[in-house]
Amino acid sequence: MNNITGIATDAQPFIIMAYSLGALALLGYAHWCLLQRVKLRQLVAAVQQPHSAAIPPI
Amino acid sequence: MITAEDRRELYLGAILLAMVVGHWLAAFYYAPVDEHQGEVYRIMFLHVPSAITAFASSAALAVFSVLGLKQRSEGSLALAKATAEVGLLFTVLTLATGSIWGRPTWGTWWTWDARLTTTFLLALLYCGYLLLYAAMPAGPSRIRACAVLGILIFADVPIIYKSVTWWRTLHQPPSMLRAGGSTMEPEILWTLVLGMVILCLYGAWLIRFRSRNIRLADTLEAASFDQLQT
Amino acid sequence: MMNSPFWRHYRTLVSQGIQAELADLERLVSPVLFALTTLLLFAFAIGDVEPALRVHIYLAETFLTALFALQINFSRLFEPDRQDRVFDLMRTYPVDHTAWFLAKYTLVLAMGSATLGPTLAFAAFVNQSPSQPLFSWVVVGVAAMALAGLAALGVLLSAMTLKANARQILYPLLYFPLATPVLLAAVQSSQLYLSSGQITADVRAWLGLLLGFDVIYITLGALLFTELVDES
Repeated sequence: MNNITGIATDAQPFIIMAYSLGALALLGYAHWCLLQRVKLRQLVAAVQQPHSAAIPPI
Repeated sequence: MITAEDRRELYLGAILLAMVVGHWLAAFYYAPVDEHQGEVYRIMFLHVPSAITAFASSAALAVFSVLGLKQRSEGSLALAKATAEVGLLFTVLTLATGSIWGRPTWGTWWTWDARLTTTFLLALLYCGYLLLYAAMPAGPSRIRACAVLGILIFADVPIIYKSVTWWRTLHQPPSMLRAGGSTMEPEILWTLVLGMVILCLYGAWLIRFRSRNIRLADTLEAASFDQLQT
Repeated sequence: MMNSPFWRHYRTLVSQGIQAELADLERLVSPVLFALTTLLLFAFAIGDVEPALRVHIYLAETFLTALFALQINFSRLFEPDRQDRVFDLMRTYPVDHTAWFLAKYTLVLAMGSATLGPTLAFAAFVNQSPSQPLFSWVVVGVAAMALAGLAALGVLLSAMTLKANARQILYPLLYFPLATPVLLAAVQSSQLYLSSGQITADVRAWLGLLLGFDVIYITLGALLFTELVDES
């Protein structure tokens, strides 16, 4: 039976390293894009409001 | 502050991310142990799909570049730029996981293996694309120049696949696409294929999400400029 | 046929380009001096080489030096056209864009040959040993094939980066990764030939790859250059 706790100890560090990097890359980039989207929506809404102060582009 | 459209995009992203996690679980629970490499081979289920996504991104970059040349629109350039970023992300992930897999398998973190080396080249090309985008002022010249470079980058991809059969290499000879069929066990093969499809879909979602951010930034810049004019 | 507008444009642009190059001899001399200096630096850095490694080291440093020196030729190709906005005026003028590309390609082949020739000769000269002749017309032929592909790439990249900031660093960052397959094929085919003394199947395979890339880069170069300079 294959289970993660049954992985030989010498392979564990490498598997953990690889999949942690994968999670960081895939989640990290998506998260950065999401934060950027939220900020952009705020800025666009603020600029498009009438008589709002000019907001420098990012 | 996000719109309903943004929410729909995020739900789709969450679903795809859940599929990625599900695939990783299948990589550990469903795929059997490899008789030669033991458990450490499971890194392959992240490494190979990342590589496929990285190379597929170069094809997508070429498509958006051709569209950019035909339409001369900022929209296709935004898609192309997002594709280069996502392509770079997956190329770096491929190299990193390849290096980590190489240590217990080949005894070394890095070797000038043909496929790893040319994947490194692809990463440099993506960096070059992003540098060119940053170095040129917005306008038709940038659309054209970036489009031409995107097509040139795609032209480099065939040698990445061809070189593995022409150079002496530590890398696996092609296990899937070879005469006589695959040498992999069916469970491993199907888990791998599933991973490729899911990660490519997730990469496509990242490209779309990021390109919309780029277009929003363009809108913001135009709106700010209009504000300054009034 | 030779008096068609295409060939008239081509001849005019080639002769104009040659005059621009000859007007400033520094543009021809400095890449050659750079190549000779680089070869000397390699010689100092590498030092005495075991006979078994001599061929490989010679080819590696020769083709690398050629790649670096040719980059200088290529990156400065459109500099005369930047003066007085000649490049922008040419884009609006009814000149055949393919003829324009071919003219620049011919020019860069000529300039590249003027750099490559002395580089190959000097490299064979400083690396020679009594027991191991290094100069070979086959290697010169391989270098010429490599130049054919690199020149097309050089014209395209030069036109692409003409309006970019930090061109001096951006150009090599784009050029070197794209040129690496050509470098690889040239070194591998030359090394296999010099080691065995004959054109084996492996040598032919690498030459085939080099030829393939020449065709790809020249074709893409002609097609994409016209898209790049098209005003519409």
